[in-house]
Amino acid sequence: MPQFDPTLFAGLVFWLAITFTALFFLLSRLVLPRMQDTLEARASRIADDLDRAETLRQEAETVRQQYEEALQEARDQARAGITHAVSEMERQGAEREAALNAEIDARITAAEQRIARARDEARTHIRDIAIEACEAASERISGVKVKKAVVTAAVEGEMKRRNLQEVA
Amino acid sequence: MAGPLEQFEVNPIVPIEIGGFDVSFTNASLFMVINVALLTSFFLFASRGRSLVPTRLQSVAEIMYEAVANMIRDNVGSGGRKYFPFIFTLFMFLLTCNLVGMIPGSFTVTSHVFVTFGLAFVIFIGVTIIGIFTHGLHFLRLFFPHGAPLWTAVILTPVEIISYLARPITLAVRLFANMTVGHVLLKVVAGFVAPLGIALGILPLGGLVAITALEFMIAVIQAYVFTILTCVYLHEALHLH
Repeated sequence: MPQFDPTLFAGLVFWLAITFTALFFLLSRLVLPRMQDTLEARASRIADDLDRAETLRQEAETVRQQYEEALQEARDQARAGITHAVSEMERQGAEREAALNAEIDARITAAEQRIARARDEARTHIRDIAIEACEAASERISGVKVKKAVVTAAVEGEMKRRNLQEVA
Repeated sequence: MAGPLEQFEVNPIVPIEIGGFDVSFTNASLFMVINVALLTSFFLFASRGRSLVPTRLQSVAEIMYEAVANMIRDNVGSGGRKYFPFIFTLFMFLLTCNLVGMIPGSFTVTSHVFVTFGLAFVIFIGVTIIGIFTHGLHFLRLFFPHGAPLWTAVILTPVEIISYLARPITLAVRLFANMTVGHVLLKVVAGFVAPLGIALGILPLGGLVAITALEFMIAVIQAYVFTILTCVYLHEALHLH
């Protein structure tokens, strides 16, 4: 077997030493630093991107909270506005009702006064008509012209007796 | 028809002699140089872009890098980072030698026990020096398991010392034997194909295909085993068990 030929030992080990050392220096000086740089750059880039994504996520969260706060505020304002409008309308309605009631009362009072005046007038007319009727009746029946003062007294006396004032 | 052992023959291309030693540039030397050139040009080419999103070749190079980095992180632990260039060179060298050896007509550098022993011996010496530098005389604790009864030292210490000293040999022989046997087997089975003719020759040919697949697997596994054992020895030197 050529593997156990001792004359080959020196040559194989000599060339192994040269080639292996050369490979070691070529890889460790040229290749490995370059690859390490690339891998580290990639790792740090990925870490940076993740960081930036996290920052953006937090910003978005802040904006969302602000939006919700603004929305809540707007809702509160709207509710307050509605409450205010309702109470204002109730107040105006009550005022109008009160004014209307006052006007109605005034009209009723005026109407009552008119009625009372009309009644008084009517009573006065009744007395005059009664006096005239009595005068005419007594003249036709008896042919005697009775004095107006007497007739008036009689009529007024009779009216008082029959309490016509209440009836009228 | 070439014999099954002919593939391991070392023939000088440029005869060189230094101090009485024959260090001729041989076919073995040529393949060592080819492997180093292949590896270096592959990694230089693959890593030239330094793109943030790796190209296909860059991915391959980075997978190799990450694989060796993980191997060191898992098996050497703390303090293993500074040995990364050596471990990476070792793994890539062995892997390339084993795989290039699978090309018909090429030369399998790792099928020579002097080559594997050269590597294993350097690792053995290096690891021992690292251990002594890290722990001083405490390094000798390695030869007596912590917590065992004192009288067992009579048996355990010689066993531990022998197994420690056997490490470069087992490391070297494991790789060399796997590579040699595989290639001999391929050659022997291949030798049956032509004499048996087309009809019967199909059988050894099928076997040859299967063994070739197996050999590719062994080429990768043995490079990995050699490297991971180096990591384990390094771990022991740095952390004492």
